[in-house]
Amino acid sequence: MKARRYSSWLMWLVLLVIAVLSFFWSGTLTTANTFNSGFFGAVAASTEIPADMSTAENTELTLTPAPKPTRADYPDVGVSSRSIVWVVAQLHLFFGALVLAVPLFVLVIELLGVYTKDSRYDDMAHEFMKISITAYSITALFGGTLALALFLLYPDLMAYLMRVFGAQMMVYAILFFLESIVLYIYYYGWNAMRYGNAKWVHLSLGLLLNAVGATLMVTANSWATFMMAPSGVNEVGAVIGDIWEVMKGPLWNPINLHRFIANIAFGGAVVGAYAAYKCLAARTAEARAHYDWMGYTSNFIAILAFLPLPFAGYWLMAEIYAYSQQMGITAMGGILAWLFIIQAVLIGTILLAGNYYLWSGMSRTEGSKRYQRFIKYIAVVLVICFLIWVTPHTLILTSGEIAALGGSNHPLLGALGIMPAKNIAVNLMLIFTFMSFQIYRRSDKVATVSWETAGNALMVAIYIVAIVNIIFVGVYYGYFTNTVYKVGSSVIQVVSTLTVIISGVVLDAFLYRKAKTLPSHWGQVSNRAQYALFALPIAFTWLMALMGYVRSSVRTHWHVYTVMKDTSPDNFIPTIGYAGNMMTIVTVLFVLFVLFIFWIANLSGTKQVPPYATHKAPAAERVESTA
Amino acid sequence: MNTGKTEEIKTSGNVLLKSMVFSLGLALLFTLVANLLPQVEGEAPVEQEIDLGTLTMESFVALGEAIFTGNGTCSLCHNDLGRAPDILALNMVDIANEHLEDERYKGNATDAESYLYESMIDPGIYVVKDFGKKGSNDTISPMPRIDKPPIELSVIEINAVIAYMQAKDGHDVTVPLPVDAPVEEVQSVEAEKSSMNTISVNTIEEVVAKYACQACHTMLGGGGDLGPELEQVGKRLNAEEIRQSIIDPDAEITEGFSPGVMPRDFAEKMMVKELEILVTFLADSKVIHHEKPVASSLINTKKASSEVEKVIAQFGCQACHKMLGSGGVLGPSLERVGAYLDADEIRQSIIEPNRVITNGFPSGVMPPNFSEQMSDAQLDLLVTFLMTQKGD
Repeated sequence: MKARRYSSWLMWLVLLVIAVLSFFWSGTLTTANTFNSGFFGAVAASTEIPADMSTAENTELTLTPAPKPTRADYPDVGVSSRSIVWVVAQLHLFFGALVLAVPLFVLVIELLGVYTKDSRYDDMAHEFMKISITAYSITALFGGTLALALFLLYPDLMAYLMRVFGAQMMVYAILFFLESIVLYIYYYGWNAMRYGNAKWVHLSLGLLLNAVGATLMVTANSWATFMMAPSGVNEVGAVIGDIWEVMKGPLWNPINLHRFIANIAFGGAVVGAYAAYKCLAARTAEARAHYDWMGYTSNFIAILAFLPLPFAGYWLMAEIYAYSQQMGITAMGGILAWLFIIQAVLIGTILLAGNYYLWSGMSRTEGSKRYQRFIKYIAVVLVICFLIWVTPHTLILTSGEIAALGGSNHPLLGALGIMPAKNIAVNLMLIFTFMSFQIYRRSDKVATVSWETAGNALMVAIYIVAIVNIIFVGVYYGYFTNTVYKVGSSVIQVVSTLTVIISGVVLDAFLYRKAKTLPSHWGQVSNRAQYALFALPIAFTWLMALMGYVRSSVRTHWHVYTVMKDTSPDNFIPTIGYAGNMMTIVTVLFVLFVLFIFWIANLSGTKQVPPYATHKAPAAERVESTA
Repeated sequence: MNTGKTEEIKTSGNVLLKSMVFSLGLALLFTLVANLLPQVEGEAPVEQEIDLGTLTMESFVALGEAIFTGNGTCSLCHNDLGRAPDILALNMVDIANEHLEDERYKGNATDAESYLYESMIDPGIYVVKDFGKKGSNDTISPMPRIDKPPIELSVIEINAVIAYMQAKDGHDVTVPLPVDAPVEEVQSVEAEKSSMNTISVNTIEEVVAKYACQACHTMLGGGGDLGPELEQVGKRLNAEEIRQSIIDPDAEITEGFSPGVMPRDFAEKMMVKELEILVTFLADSKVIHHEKPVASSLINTKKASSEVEKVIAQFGCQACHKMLGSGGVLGPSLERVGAYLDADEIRQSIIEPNRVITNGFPSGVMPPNFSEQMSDAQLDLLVTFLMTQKGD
């Protein structure tokens, strides 16, 4: 443990030193520009290269534009620089997402333990943190490596970003020290602050940990969103605003929300895989029951966070279109559009795996027989919607195939390739996934309220109205009106889906108040269901890699969109196959590191039997812990 | 919650191995999907220089079309998907004139050309109904200024796009050709193809070689007899008549020759400068200027030392085709023809040149009477030679 802590501190120290050195390398620390353009605001001033801009003619200030590196300015290390940064950055982001997400739901579970006075919640939250704390060290290692790679391979870009963000990057590094301090106290002080007032101190530390983590995330997000939609700079990239104007670009908040929610879903899926692994490897019924419950909780977190994610994604895409229609179309209708077919496959995998896990989990309780007849219908709807989602619109065909087909769109299936059909499919998949979730939650309960029949009728009515509305709005506005209404109709569909989810949760909360609880048998679940929990993080990881790639690639041949061109040898958008191979490489590497974390987490709970006792129990040299 | 009992249970084999195989299999499945989809690379625009002085109106319009669908990214929105007015389906000159009459129009344009230019560098001046930014009530255009990043078209490129929009519906192109402009930097990969024929020509020999006049006409001391000889054409036609016979060859047919043989698209292909060089030369050609066959000086500076080189020189093959290291671009290069055509196909392409046309080249350009002009021995010699041309 100590070694891990030291390595983490060491890496952040390296990061800080690099940041400081880079500050000097950027050549602006000696000018007033640095701090003015950086953290402390005001208009940037410099005595360096004057910008070629008309607005500067009327002012005494001369502004420093973004650099214009030539191909020769990019170091050649014999391997594609983009591929190096791609792998390291993606691994850093995977682990970063994990370590930021886990404390979020750990805090909620810990709080739940306080309110229910059930120590199992507390133990589970502590075990989740055990995974997170190992991942934190690996995040730090990849973070330091990423910083080194970027400064080495893209020196002009990093010098420019250092100039634009200035002291904010120093604040970021300092926040990591704070994050490390709070994280270690929170984790290692868990048992020391377990009861009474000390527990509230511990919970407050958890809150502080999440606050610092969220600040770190939104700070780093501002770098990515600045590169996509620069703000606080003029058209040649010279800084003309303060750091707040630089940070609060049009895409900053949509990315913040999207990553916040996605991180929770991702974190839930990863710890779910941990629980599934432990459940399958459990040697006692008690351990299997514990990890079955832990897996269920993780899946609950992952799917619950996943359900609103498409809406956050929708907001992000709408803001991208509002910022630059060209950028939006490049993503959704241009060269990157085919990637959304893979996205459909991935999200379909996630929803099918999540649903399958819920259906399998219904075998834990006898009361589930009342609802099992619905499963086959839900499955049919999910599969049909999935197939609609993956139907491409325009096919790349030979002239003979086009002639045989009568055009590049299939006369019947072509209509399923456009967004209105996909919007219907996605919303129905979300509604029916919620239905699976709802009947699962109802399986071990029998309502005792007098208005049960009326309540159920109301719920059914809400489902029917929402489904009819989603289909009608999608078909009518999607196929019989122009594009403006198409976009508007998707908002109505989203509202319908959210209405079902929110009303379902609220209605069930009242309907099953003081309900009779039927016995549940944790651990009595098929092993196949545990593999569904493995499918979730694999699909989530691949999906994160995919969407991160799309987000980054919409800049096309720009490091910083419209102000700093990418003239490196890698300034083209690679083929989907190449990108897919890269995503699999980073996913497999992530899985290997996660398995290492699981092993470490398991090792920390393993106690060797004293040598003098071995002759008494030769077959059990190690004692398994469930905590 | 019932947590069950503490008795030992059987685990399901090697969990680590199974979970790894399952995870890897799933990841590979996603990789398979990615590799099954169309594989297209998105190249960054390459900056290149083209000599604007060599542009013809045809290649200028082609440049505009290439920019429209390529670096200009116009077709990303201006298509039939309803994102923006479908320029390819609309008559943009008529549309421009309609918008100029609209009371909502507040710009300074006075005609279609200036309106189209203004609409590209200041798209917000007039927002087409129902295509404004969402919530702006058609007061804000979602279109970016195309002279600014990330598109950054130059004035010449914008003019090329206007020329394309005018030409595609049969309107007169009012945008002037930038013939006297200095060499400018133009970003266009797509334009490379359209400008590949724009070789700088300054002399009558180069004009004659570029347009393969001697393939049909005797002039400059050599050439074919498919068309009338032009050695002393100035004696019978004045400059205006010569100009007309080039840009509208079937208007007047010389006795003894058939209409429809001479290509009718020289007016589009030739630059004004080239046309004037040719007309001036022919109008002045009242006497024979050259005694030796000029074709040999045009086709190759090397002495025609072998029989095949003599045949190539005699029939002016290099006026249109690249072979023996040099030649024109009016027809396909023959330097690797032996690698993809057999002897019969090569023979057929000489005696029946319009039967099979190489992609990217127009039909009707190569004279169809070589079989009458060449002896069998010359034809065999040429075919045998071309068979050896495999680019080695």
